[in-house]
Amino acid sequence: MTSTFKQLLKVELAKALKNKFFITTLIIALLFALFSAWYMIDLYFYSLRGLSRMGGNQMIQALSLFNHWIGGEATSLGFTLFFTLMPLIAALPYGWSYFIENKSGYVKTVVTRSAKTEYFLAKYIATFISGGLVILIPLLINFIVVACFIPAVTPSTMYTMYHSVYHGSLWSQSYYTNPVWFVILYLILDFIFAGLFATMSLTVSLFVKNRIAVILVPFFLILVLHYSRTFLAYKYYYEISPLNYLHSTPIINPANVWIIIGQGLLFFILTFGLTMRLGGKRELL
Amino acid sequence: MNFYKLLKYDLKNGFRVGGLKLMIIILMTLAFCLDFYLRKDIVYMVDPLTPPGTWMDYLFYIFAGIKEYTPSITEEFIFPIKWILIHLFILYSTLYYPHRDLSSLGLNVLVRTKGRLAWWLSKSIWNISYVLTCYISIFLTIIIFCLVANEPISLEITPMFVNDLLDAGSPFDTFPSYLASIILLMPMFISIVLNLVQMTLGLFIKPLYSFGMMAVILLASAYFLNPFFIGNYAMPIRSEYVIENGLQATTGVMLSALIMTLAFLIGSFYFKRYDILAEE
Repeated sequence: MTSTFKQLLKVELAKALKNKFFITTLIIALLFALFSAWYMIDLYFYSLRGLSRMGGNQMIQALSLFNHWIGGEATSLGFTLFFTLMPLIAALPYGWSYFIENKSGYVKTVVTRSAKTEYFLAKYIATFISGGLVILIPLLINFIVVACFIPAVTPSTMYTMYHSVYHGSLWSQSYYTNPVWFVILYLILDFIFAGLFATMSLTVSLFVKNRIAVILVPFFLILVLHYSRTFLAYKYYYEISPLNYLHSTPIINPANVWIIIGQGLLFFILTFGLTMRLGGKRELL
Repeated sequence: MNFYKLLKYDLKNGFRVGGLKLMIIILMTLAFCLDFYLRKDIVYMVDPLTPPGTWMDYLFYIFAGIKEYTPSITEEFIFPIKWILIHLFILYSTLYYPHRDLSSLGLNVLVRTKGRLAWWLSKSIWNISYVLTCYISIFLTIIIFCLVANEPISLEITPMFVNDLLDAGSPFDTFPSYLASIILLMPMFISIVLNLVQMTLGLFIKPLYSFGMMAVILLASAYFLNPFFIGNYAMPIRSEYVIENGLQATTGVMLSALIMTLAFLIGSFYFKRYDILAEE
C-alpha cells in the first residue's frame, strides 16, 4: 500500500461518507427501520395485553426481541420497504460517484497524480463501505430501539411458529442458543451484500452513460433474480434471492450457506474483477 | 418552434431513448407468460388435461397483484414481484428522458419553445404515449405467446385459475365481463397517473428519489388494502368483482383523474418558474 493510495482512500472515504446523498439516504433508511420498530413494539404490547387477559401460559419465549427487530420480523411495512429497496438504498449514497467524476473531468486530475488501479481500488472500497454502512446503521439502530422495549428472551424451539427458524435454517443452532451472535452474523452478512450492491453501480457506470441507469440497473437485476425464483417453484426449496435470505428469519424458503457464498463470490468477482480490469485499462486522459 | 413540432420532437426522441426498454418489457412479458404456462402444468399435474389459459387469464396473471394482507407475526408479507417489476420498470423507462431534455440540446429546444407550458404539455403527452405503448406491447406479446402456445385468444376469465393460481381467496364462482375491462384498463390507467406524478415530483426532488417515492407508494399499496393507496386499483385481484371487500373501479378512476390533473397543474405552474440553468 503506497502513501498515495492511503491518501486516496482517505479522500474517497471522506467523500463517500460526508456527501448529502449518503445523509439523505441514511435518513430514509432510518425512517423505514424506525417505522418497523414502532409497529413491532406496539404489536408486542398488544399481544402481551391479549395474553394477560387470557391468563394461563404467557408464552414468554414466543415474543422476543429476536422476532421483533427488523431482521427478525416479516410483518411490518417498514420491513417490506427496507428489504425490498435494499439494493437501491445501498447504491444511492456513492454508487454514482465514478460516473460523475468521469463526466466532470475530476478523474483526470486524480490519475495524473496516482495509478489508475489505485484510484479504482480506493473507489471500490469507499463505495462498498458507504453501501454497507447505509444498511448496517439503520439495522443496528432498529435493534437497539426495539431492545429498549422488548426483552431479549432466548427463543425456544417450542415456538417455531413465531420464530420461523426451523431445523436446517441458516445458523439455526445459534438462534436457539446464542441469538445475539446470530444477529451479529446477519448484520455482517447484510453489510457485505449491501456493499456488493453498491459496487454493482460502480461497475455499471463503466458501461452506461446515464446516471439513473447506474443506480437502477443493479436494483432491477436483483429484482429479476428475485423473480427467477418462481421458475424453481415446487422443484428447489432453498432461497436464491438476496432480498429474502438477507432477512434473518426465512420468508419463504430457508437460506443455504453455499448459495449465499456462491452468489456473494459471483457478485464480488464480477464487480471487483470488472472494475479493476476495465478501469485499469480505461483511457481516462 | 410551434407545439406540434415540439411534440413530434419529443415523441421521436423519447421513443428512441426508451426503445431498448420497450424490448426489455416485451422480454419480461414473455417470461411472465412462460411462468403462467408452466405453473398451470404443475398445479393441474394430476388432472387428465391441463386447462387452457385465455389471453385474459395471462393478462390477469401478470397484473393481478396480491390478495389483502392481514398483518400477523405468524404470516410473512410477500410482495407481488411480477406486479412490482412491471410497474417499476415502466416508471424507470419514463424517468430519464424529461430529465435529460432539461440539459444539453433540450435546453435549446426549450428556449425556442413559445412558453414553458407547451414544453410541459408536450412532455406529459409523450409520457402518456410511452406508457400506452408499453401496455400495447404487453397485450400484443401475450397474443403472440397465445398463438405460439396454442392458447385461446379470448376475453373469458377461467374461474378456477383465480383461486388456484392467483390465490385470490375469492368467494365467487363466476366473474362478470366488467372484470375483464378492469384487468385491461385499470393497471394502464394507474400506470399513467404514477408516471405523471413521478415526472412532476422530479421537478421538486432528484429523479432517483422521485422513483423511490413511487416504489414506496407501490409497496404500501400492496401492503394496505385501502382506497387512498392508488396502487390498489392497479391490482384487479382486489376488485369488488373478485373479493367481497374489494375496491370499486369508478372510485379509482375518479381519484386517478384528480391526481393526474393536480400533477399536471402543479407541474406546469412550478415549471414556469423552474430554474433550468441550475439543472444544467
